[in-house]
Amino acid sequence: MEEKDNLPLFSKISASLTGFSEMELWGTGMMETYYNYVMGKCGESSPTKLDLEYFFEKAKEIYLGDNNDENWIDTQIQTWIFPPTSYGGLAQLIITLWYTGNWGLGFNGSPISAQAYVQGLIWNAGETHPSGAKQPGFGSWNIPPINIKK
Amino acid sequence: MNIKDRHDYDVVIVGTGISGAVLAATLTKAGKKVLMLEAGLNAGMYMDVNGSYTTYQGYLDTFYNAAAKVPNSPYPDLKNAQSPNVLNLSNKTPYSSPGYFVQEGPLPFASENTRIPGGTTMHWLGTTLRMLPNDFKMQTMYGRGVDWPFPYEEMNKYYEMAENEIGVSGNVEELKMPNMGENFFSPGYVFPMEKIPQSYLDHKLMEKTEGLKVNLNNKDYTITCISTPQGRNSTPNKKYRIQGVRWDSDTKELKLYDYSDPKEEYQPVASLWDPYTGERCEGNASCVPICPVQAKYNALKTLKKADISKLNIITQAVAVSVIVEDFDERNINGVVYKQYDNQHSAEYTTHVAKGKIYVLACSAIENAKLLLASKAANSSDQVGRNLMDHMVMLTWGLTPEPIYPYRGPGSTTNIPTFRDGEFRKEHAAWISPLDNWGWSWPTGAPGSDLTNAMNSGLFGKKLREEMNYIITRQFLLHFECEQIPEEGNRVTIDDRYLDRLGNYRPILHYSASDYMKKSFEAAQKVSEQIFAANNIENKTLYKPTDADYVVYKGQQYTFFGAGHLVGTHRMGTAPENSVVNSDQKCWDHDNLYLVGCGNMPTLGTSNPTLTMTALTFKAAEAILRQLENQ
Amino acid sequence: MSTYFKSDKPRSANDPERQKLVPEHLMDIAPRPDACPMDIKTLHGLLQYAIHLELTTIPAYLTTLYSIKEGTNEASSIICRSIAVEEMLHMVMAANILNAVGGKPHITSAETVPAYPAELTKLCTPFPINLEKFSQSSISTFMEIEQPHALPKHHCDKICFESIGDFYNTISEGMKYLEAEASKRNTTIFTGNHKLQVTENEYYGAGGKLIAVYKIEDALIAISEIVGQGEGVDGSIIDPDSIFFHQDVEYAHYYRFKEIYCGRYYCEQDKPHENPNGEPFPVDWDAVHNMQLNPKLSDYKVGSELWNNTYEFNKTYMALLENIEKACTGNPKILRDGIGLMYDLKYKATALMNMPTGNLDNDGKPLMAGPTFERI
Repeated sequence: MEEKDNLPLFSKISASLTGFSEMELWGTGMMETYYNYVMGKCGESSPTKLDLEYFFEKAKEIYLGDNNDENWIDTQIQTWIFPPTSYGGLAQLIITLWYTGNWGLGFNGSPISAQAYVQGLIWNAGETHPSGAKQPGFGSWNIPPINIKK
Repeated sequence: MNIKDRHDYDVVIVGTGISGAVLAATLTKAGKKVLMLEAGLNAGMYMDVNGSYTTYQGYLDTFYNAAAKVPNSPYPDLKNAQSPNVLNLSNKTPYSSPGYFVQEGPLPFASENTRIPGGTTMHWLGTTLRMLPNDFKMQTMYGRGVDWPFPYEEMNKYYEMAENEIGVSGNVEELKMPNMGENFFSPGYVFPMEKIPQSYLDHKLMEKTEGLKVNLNNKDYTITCISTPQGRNSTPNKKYRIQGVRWDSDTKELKLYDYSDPKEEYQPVASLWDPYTGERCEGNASCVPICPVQAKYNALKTLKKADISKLNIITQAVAVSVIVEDFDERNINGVVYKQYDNQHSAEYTTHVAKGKIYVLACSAIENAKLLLASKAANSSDQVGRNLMDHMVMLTWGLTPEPIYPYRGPGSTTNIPTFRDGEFRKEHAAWISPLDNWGWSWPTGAPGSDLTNAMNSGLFGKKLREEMNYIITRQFLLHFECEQIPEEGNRVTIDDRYLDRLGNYRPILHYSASDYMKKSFEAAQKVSEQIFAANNIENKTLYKPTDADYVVYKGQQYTFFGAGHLVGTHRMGTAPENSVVNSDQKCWDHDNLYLVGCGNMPTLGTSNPTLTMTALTFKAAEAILRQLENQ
Repeated sequence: MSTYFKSDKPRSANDPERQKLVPEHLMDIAPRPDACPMDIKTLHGLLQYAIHLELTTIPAYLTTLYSIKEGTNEASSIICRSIAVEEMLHMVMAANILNAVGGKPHITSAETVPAYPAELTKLCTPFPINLEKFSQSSISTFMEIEQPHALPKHHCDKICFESIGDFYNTISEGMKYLEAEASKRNTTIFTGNHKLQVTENEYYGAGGKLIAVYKIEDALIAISEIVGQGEGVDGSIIDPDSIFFHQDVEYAHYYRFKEIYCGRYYCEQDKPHENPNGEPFPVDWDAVHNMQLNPKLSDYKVGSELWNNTYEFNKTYMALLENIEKACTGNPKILRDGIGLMYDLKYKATALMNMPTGNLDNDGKPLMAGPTFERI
């Protein structure tokens, strides 16, 4: 199996886990980096290579089946993917990676790279920007965050 | 011992932080030859375009990659010149590992300086409040601490120098503080730049806090909120006419002088590498530990203004001791330092730096350590004693509406109401900055919020919504309580505890007296009333695992270090009660000056850097007088 | 003496070349004896076109800048950024001049906001200006935009302009003529409300000092600044900022783009017609987001994620232009709020360039979306 084969699946499952759309995730420029990182990190200890294989197998079942209903997908994820006991806790590691750029949960985590920190989605979720990056400009803090939606 | 550098300088300064830099710039501009010794890495000293940019981007990259973005996280962790780090804190005192400080306890000392070029101003927040007049006479007014050897009025001129040098943004008219008197500022005085805009959350909180009546120990107080002056760039104030500070050799005074050309006006000092970067604060919300655009003042900006033809700087040179002359011990004959070529190796060579006058400017901790190691300046037995910090009690909660924290400088508004009053007889005074950065300090938010949300089973859109809900409503209030000088809070040294170069590691002895504990209890009462008025849901949670806490009347109060390391070589009225005189010259020696926060007899409720910088101008004046009278 | 302060930049502030760079004739307010007559309406039109001209280059330069991958092509990024912000400065200065002579700047009108590929139709030989990723092709287009030309022979029946320098020279000469005519009647063309001027207090951190325009001298300085930063003055490669404002010497735009093209800095001895001979720097044409050429909102299905993100980008762009328009028509202080929009625009553009369109380029590599800078 080619290393990149599961990238589209990784993109879909990342979107379901994080609550950010696939395009929003691609917009960070981190999609391939994270995919490769996760592939590389799963190994001898938990999560293992096998965990990762089963994880994608389950993801295939969920996304490549006939049912596209979002609620159904959510239930599937809640039951099979999200629990910390599933696949060596891979789901929460992936969420944390997207939100903070860290590999590892809570205080055990650290950024996998400077860009990973800067692209952390936790800041977008909180309508702000990473401390020390993506500066919003002089006086921007004086008014509510810019919120331009269509 | 290899004695090179026999070159004779007028002044040898140990340390390139703000006090060293102010001295070097002032003295060289007055024509004096200055040598500086800096323990940190050579690369940190570069001030040319490419060098300064490269070094600073390196700091920034280290910061991005750091797991915990603590004050010293961007800067080199040097084994040959260690800096303390809050990550090494534990409540299991005494301990000597991990970390640089040996913590004797009973409480760990939780503040940290930075031993790199530019010193701790590289990671300071930048708040530049003046002390209040009554802060200078605590003993007379309230029977606590000691009086300063001079009143506030004598500081005004030096405060103006410090505000010019740092480049303070603020609005003089808004600064209404308790018992500040009529002549707190010179008539018509303005700061170099207009105030830094206050945050959206400041405005939201002020709606119900400004003018709020609170009751404390059966007395009513009216809360006020004022914008905080700070050392970061904003719009220049057209009315500000001071160009700088210079030595008048006729009157033997340092003087402020105005722009002679009416068309000239104050220019914000931008980054070291580009005149267009950092002309304004860009809202990176990371002042501590690093301003990516250098809109925040740091001491390298001052050093860059020195007359470089008169200045020599030796880096990777760690001071060991000062040499006290045998004859009558009145004179210092040199500074011994160990120079290392490679930061990853323990190899070094030993040298002596010589000059007419010596100045220690390497933080309250290092200054005290050096004096103790040299057996110098300590006839009063006050060296190392009276270590002080603001003990910062934090309270936090969730606001009913989004207030959008994690934006802008760390704090843009403060509550000065409890900075002074009769209550100082009973308990410590405090200042309450409104914090712009959510709960990040006490809880590790927003990262910890993510963990909590996932632990409660949230993922996907619900997780995103929850994160939005909780991050946008986080309010944090500080109570920065003024620690009073106590002999037992001190720095000592011991041959058992040496660093890799064989230099002493500081041993910290630290505790919180009832005077402090009472202030925590009082502050909680005020916090409660402010939260109630703003419908803030209290989320404050102190834990037995916290590094610094006290129990008072059955209640636990956790506090943090403010990063204000003050008071280890106090200034005073007589050789018996103090280390330096009001010129900041050691009573015991004719050519040794100490500068920095260590000189401050009491702490007050303002962040100490501005006051220390003002004092340093005063010391520069005294040094120039001494040099010109020789 | 300490070595920490040495400047290793090839651009010394003590360059004696600086001394001879104050081109006196530029500051001479007297019109030429054979000046071409012009009416104030025509002048207003030309200045409005100047705004359009600057607003045509800015998105092109920004697109190229944002397409450079984070942490790569550092030297090229610094050059592109500094030029883009100078063009913004020029746009606001053009608006200042227009206000000063009693006109009203339009920033958001259909005639002002270009569609890409764009053409500067007032040039005698227009050429396409694209929204294009960082490449030899985009950089050569930029060199063509900023190409220095000798001023054409003076004549009054111009129907188009040989170069941007020619265009701005016509404005200068027109202003001088009109002001001279006005002063014969004891009046002035500088009748604009002073409060309309955007001053350096509102505009900072970008490419030079903003000149508020109250009289002919200010206007002439502003124009020579615009032209000087672009093409260089009088055959020298150094822009006039350094003379007026004592900043570190900066080369004019054309030469700075050429530095990228050649991967080498100019040094002080270099002549304008030569290639640069200073220090080389690395240029990695591959460390670039593979953005499709001139992307458009209409490339995507309405309501699709790409459409939504592109639409949001354009909304931000329009909000920024509206902000600048307000700032230039009576509320200069509002410009501060525009800075946030500027940064936001950048972050949104970079995000778009990371979003695959599903199409492939000729080499089979995935093509990315990009900022479309459309008036919506």
